[in-house]
Amino acid sequence: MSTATVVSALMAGALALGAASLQAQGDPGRGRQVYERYCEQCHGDRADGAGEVARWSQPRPRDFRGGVYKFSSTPYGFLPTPADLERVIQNGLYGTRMPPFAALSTRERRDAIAYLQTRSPRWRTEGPGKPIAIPAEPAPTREAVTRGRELFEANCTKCHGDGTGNGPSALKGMADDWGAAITPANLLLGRGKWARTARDIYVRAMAGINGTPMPESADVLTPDQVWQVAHYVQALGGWSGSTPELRRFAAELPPPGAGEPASADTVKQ
Amino acid sequence: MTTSRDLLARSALVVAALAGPAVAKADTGPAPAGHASAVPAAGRETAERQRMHAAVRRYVEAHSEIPAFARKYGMKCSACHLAVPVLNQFGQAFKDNGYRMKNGTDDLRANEPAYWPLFGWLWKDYEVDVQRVAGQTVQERGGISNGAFVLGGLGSIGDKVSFRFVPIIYEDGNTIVDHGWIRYNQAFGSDWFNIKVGSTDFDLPINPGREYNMGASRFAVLYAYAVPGSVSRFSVLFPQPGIEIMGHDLGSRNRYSVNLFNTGGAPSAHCVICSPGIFGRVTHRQEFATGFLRAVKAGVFGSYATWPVGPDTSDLKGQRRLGGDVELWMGSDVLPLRATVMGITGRDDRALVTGATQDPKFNAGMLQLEYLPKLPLVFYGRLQVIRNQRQGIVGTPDDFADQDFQLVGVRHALELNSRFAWLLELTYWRWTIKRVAPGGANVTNHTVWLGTHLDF
Repeated sequence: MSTATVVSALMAGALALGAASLQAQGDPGRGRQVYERYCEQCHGDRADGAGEVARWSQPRPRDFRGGVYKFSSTPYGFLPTPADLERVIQNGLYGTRMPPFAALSTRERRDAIAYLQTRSPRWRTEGPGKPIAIPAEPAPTREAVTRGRELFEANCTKCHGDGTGNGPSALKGMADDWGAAITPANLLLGRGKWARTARDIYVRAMAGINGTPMPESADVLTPDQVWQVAHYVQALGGWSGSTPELRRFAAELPPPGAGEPASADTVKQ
Repeated sequence: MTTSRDLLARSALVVAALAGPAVAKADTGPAPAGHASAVPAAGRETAERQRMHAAVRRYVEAHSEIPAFARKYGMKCSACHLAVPVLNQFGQAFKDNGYRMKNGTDDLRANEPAYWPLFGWLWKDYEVDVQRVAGQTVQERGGISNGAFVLGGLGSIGDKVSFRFVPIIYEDGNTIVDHGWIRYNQAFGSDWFNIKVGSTDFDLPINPGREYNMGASRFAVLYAYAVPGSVSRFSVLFPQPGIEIMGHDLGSRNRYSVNLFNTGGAPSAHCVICSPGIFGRVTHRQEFATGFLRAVKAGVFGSYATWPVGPDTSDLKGQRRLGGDVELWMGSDVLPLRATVMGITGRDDRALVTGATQDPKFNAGMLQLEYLPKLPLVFYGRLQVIRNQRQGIVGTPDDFADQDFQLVGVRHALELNSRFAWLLELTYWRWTIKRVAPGGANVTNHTVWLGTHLDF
């Protein structure tokens, strides 16, 4: 048998094996292997969020059995899209024990997601929600920042206080749906667990955070108003896209309560 | 933090548990008069073993302060290691990032309570070696080989600063610092520019410090080869003192590293850079969305080092190494069949070989196959060949000091979690060096090696 024949046979075999394993979607069986290597330590072998190091993690690792995921582009209460889950796996959750798994291949991440979707009965009875519509981002003007603060004070300060997460509800103590104590995000840090940009802030404000007291705003504020809030928050810290000019707008605002009383349009008309 | 006293105590208990039957037998002598045992002797032995195992388990659970390193990162060993200590892609990216996760928790001050990322290794090996010359056995050796204890630290102490310090304390009293460096991460805010200063290892394919066959590096065959008669002790195998600049993209799919160093161990080369050298490597990893072939990683590397041949370092002669490697990940990213092919060519200045009239050259190649059927188990095999292309001394047989090396092994982790790894490994290798025996005969060593490695 010639060398060329052997090489041809090996290549044909490899192609056949390749064709047999074509997977447009993730493979839950392989996903379990990925889970065991990278996830089980925190999320537990039963995907209940009670892994070996969970007790040292704050916030606690997610319990996947209930099919409730905090960060989603879908409306509050709906299952996330696979892209939402992939984003969290790829980027991690900043400031938590959830590291970015950008080094994993796309196939590994999809396999892991496919496996996670076997861990909750919700995935068998419901499909992912439809991502919220995100209108084009308006220019972050001084007026937008000013209006954004009015809306923030009317809707957000109860928990977020002056932006550092020191609102009256936070001071009394807050808990998530799993019974773990949580604190509102410190928006002055310029980066949230999931959010980095004004667009991310928009999504979080509009869709809320599942399993936490952070509500969706879709029923309370218009998209334009949510953008104003997003730009005000962006002006509070070094968020991606935040400019010195934007931060100056916020710095030049009168102290809270010193200006005009919040107008009637602090909620959706 | 796990203290050495805790470790000693824990080790003693583990040993006691392993010796359970013998200890239990000692405890199961005749029952005292008036205390006729209702439990048969065999049952009492079993009960005693269970009691001891339970005691060990309780002790470990009660004293298993999670090591700082694992506590910091909260990951299993297998998250970063394909099989300890070989890195997978996630571990490679973690290392390239200066042992940082880059999710806001890398600063020591971000953790409560604060700690230092320290670790320890303990290894002890058993080795049987048979040496044959011209088909005759000339030497047989066997026994416990020298063990070592490694207590080191590595990690990030802030977002910008990482370090590694690894002293190895051998049982015979020798202590060496394998690595000692400090790294400035993301200079100019870019992952493409990280600066490391100190004694650093080169970014070689299948890094010698991260290979199977724990504590008995057999990659010296390929990396540390010196042409016959060379006075130089330079090898890409050993960490070299100097500066490394390296960079990578997100996920470390594209990487580069450049080392500027002073050749370690060179005589009269105790100045900062008076026997200089340079090493560089670039790699690219390509992943495939479908098919049996999951990823291919390819790289090229090269070095040029100098070595003094005179009474001082004014007369430096060079050594050149060039190589390339291809790594194939097949079947699975997590439990792959991995094949690595590597080739090196080397050329030394003739002045480095006494009596040489031409520059000696050699070529070397390596094929390694690894297969992980399940997480703590790995099978591997390795072939290496070294062929002298041109001898420095005219008249020397062309194949003088050529080498053939074959190795097969299996490794299993008896225990593997974030705080402790206990590895057991069995390896066999055959190593032939041609024509070096009197009369020009080949020398072949057959070795069976059993190693155990404790990591905590």
